[in-house]
Amino acid sequence: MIRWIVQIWIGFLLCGVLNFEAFAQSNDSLRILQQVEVTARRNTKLKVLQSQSIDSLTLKQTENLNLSDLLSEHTHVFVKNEGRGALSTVSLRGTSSSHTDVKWNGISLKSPMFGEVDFSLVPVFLVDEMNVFQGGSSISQGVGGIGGTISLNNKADWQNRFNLLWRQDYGSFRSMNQYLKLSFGNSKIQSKTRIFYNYSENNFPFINKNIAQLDPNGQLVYPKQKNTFADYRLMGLLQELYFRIGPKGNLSLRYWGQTNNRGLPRLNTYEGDDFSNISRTEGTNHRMVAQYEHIGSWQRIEIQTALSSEHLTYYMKNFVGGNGYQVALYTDGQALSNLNQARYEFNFLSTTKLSATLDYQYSQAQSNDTIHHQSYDAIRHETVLGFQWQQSYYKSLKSILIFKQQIIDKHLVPSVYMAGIEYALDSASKHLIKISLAKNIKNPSLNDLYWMPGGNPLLKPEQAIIADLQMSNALVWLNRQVDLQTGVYYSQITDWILWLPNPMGYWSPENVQKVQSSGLYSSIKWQGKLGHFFKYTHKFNYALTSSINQTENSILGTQSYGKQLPYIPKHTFNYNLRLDFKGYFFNYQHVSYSERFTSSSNDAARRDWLYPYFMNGLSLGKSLAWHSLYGEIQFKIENLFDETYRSVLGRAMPGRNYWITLIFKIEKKHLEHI
Amino acid sequence: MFKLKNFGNIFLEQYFDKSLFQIAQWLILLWIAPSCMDDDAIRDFDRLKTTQSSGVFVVCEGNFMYSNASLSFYRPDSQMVWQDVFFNTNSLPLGDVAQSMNMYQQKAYIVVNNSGKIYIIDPKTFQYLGKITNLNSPRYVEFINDRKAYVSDLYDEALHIVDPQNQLKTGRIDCSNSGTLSAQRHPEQMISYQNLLFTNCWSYGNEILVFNTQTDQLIDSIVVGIQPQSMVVDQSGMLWVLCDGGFSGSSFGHEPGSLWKINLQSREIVSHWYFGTDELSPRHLRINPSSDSLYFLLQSWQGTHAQSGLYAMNLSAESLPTQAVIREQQAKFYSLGIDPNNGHIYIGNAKDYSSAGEIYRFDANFQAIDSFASGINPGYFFFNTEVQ
Repeated sequence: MIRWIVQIWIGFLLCGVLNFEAFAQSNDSLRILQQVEVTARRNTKLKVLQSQSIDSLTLKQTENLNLSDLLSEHTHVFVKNEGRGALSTVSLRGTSSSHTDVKWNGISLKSPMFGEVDFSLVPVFLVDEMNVFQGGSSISQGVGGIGGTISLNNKADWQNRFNLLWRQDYGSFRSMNQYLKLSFGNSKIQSKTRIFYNYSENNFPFINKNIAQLDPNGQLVYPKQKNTFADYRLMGLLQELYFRIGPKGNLSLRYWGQTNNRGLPRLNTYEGDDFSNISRTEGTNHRMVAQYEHIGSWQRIEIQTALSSEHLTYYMKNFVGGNGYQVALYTDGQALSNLNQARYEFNFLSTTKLSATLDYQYSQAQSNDTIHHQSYDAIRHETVLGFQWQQSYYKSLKSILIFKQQIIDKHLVPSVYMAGIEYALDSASKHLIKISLAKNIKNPSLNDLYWMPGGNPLLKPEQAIIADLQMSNALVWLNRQVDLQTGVYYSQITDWILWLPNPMGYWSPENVQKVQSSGLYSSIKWQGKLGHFFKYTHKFNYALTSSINQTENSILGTQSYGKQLPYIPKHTFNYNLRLDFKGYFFNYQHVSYSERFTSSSNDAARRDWLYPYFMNGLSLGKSLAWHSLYGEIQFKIENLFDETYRSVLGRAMPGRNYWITLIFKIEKKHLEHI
Repeated sequence: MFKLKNFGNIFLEQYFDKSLFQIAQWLILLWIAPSCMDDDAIRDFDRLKTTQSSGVFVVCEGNFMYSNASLSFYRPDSQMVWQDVFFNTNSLPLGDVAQSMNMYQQKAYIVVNNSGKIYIIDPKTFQYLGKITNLNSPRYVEFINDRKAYVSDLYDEALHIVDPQNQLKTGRIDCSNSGTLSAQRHPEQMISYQNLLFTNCWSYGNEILVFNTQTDQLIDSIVVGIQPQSMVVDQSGMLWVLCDGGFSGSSFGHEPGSLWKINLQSREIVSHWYFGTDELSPRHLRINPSSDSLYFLLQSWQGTHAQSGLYAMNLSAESLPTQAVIREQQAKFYSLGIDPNNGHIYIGNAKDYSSAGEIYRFDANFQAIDSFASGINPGYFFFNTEVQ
């Protein structure tokens, strides 16, 4: 009942806003045209590339989320979430999680061991700028993002004099987030410090309908349980220092340290000992980046060096009567990477831009299973030579050509390239068509190659051919602005790596799969003002994804040929409504995915059915500003309709839950424009 | 002619008019209003109601951490197969990684490894009768009497004692070797003989442990080859143990697979044979109903191998067989079962490990009979000859 009341209420709200819009539109002829300020800023450096950027306002509004929540609510990326606070991986364009790279200020967050990123461990709070480069465009960011690359950047605000932000969230299930940001400086030096602490006991209650007792009448009685051993604690520090050296030089130093301590909840079919099968991961990361940039009138030089270390332990322990806890599994992994990059850019007659890059990365990984005394220690040297040519022809046509050659441990691997053109349909470049063709590869991770037991040193790189067509439109009239981005793509991925069991009882990776991925996506951002005080923003993202297994392998069978890959939904949709009125704000989020299959043959067994997913949430709040002081209080409801649902098989998910947030900020800017 | 420069204005005027707002409004409402997730629909169906006599249970592991284990049931007489009988009868998932099955007193016991429990069902109707819970990582169950059964465990160097009648865990017999770097002692399969229980320590082990089932004490151990994977007993009281030899790079060592013959009475090794190559690894030792031939699978670690397949060995043979009686060819054999009624051979094929498996049937002369589908990763066969 409550669900229907709230839904009808949201419906009326939408009707109200949209009808008011329609009314406003019908009276266009009576209005005086106003000057409109276009706030969308295009990335001129990468204009020809196809990307979806997350605007700074959205980043600010979602700074207490992790990257997986942000991506699922504001992009058409599919996020596979193992549960609240648990492992989250993404699929871009129907590829696997290992095919998405994440770059933080140019360095990959992908573990050299695992070859993938847990998006639940990356707080949005640490990000100033975010772009999702899909398909072939990801080559501009590096080699390996067959599905795409998510680029996270930090940048200096040279107008800042003093900025202090404190944010405190309290949530259900003994959850707490704390954020503190302090930045100060002048037009020559800027310092920015961010500290965060996230904790949740995460012990939400649920009725477990995957296990049952029999009552005297033979009926099933489902127990009420709590999501135990699922607590998580994340702590981190990001320190940035920016220096202006002379009129043309910029030096930046960044350090990001983070520790993660997380329980791995047991499956909801588990009925073993209450004090057994207790699993945890503990991780520590340190990342340091130093970057110098020299911007001349016709050239740009960028030099960067980065050091990254990762330490991750996983253990599983059981309680044994009389002996206490016994550790049954214990894996300790450490990785160290050093990345050095040099980039030279040459601009000629403002129509030609040539750039050359040289990257060298040293990676070392050690993994040790202390129970079975299995370990590996591996080193990898990667060198990438890159060349990029951007050319403008007349006013409306641009082209880009990127070529990269990777050398791994003195061996040439297949080169990657991307060629694209952009055609502007109007003089203001508000309506653009972009076409590109690319070839990308993804090298096996060190675990793929050397994991003991099972690592396969004979693995080849996965290869992808990707074709893209995208149209983007920026429409501005009266008090409205609509940004549309629509695209279609096609990609063919060969030598896809799959981990398969072998007769010895352990798993081993092999280059076995061939996948054809195609689809379309569309993003619409529609914002405007009604009167002087009422602002609204609608954001829609939709993706149709066909990720088809085309493996012709007589051993693996034909039952999966022509079928959608497991856990890849055909339809992904999200909608955001934001209303602002005199400091009051209302936000509604909706995320939906179509049915996902859990078997490669797409047999939709009732037991394993991952039915379409619809998730709703809303938040409302009030902000106050007085001179340089800013305060805000907000209240958020997640799983608005208190639905029992599945995100993946075997995992409990929380019902309706709540957050309350307090924000306090002091901000002082330089008056002069930089 | 259409002027591209005016495209923006045309787009605005023609498409972003009042009607578009109305269409958008209805689309959003139509999408959001009915968007609900009906989790109970999974459990709302007409349950399977059946009564079966003898047949073959195929215990399907499913995928680790997916909780999609299942139980298939096959009737050789009618060549009919029922899939997912546990869920379809009881509206409950079987759990995560169903490992094995055993029968005692007209009740079937399904060991669900990563769910820490043993489900008890009626083998005729597949009705859920009860469960033994609070286990760690159970692998196999062996019954001693009405009040005692042993359960082996993958992660505990111990045998767990359970009471089948009360469906409770009642004890634990520690068999660890003091935590040294030497062989680990995780019991696996079990065979009871007189007042003794023999169990093989497979994972990182090389021993057969012997327990007294009256005193619940570990009384002896017999060192065999690396990783004794499976074992059978013949009618003459000989225990046959098949060792897979470990894997390349294993901290515990690696050697060619081996077959060991042990006298159950004296607990002494009678003879043993090592396979000629470590490229192939033997698994799944079985014995035929007339107790004169051993069967096992010999397979390569990765990819295919010309010699991979099912091998048969006469108990009186003095050497290991060198030719497969059924070649693996374009399949990946995953499990093996021998029908104790007629010696028919059942071989499970897991295919790509994430879709329905297939079971191949052969007669005792290794001639193909037919095949049928199973759940994901068919790992164990149980022939319910006890059902009357």
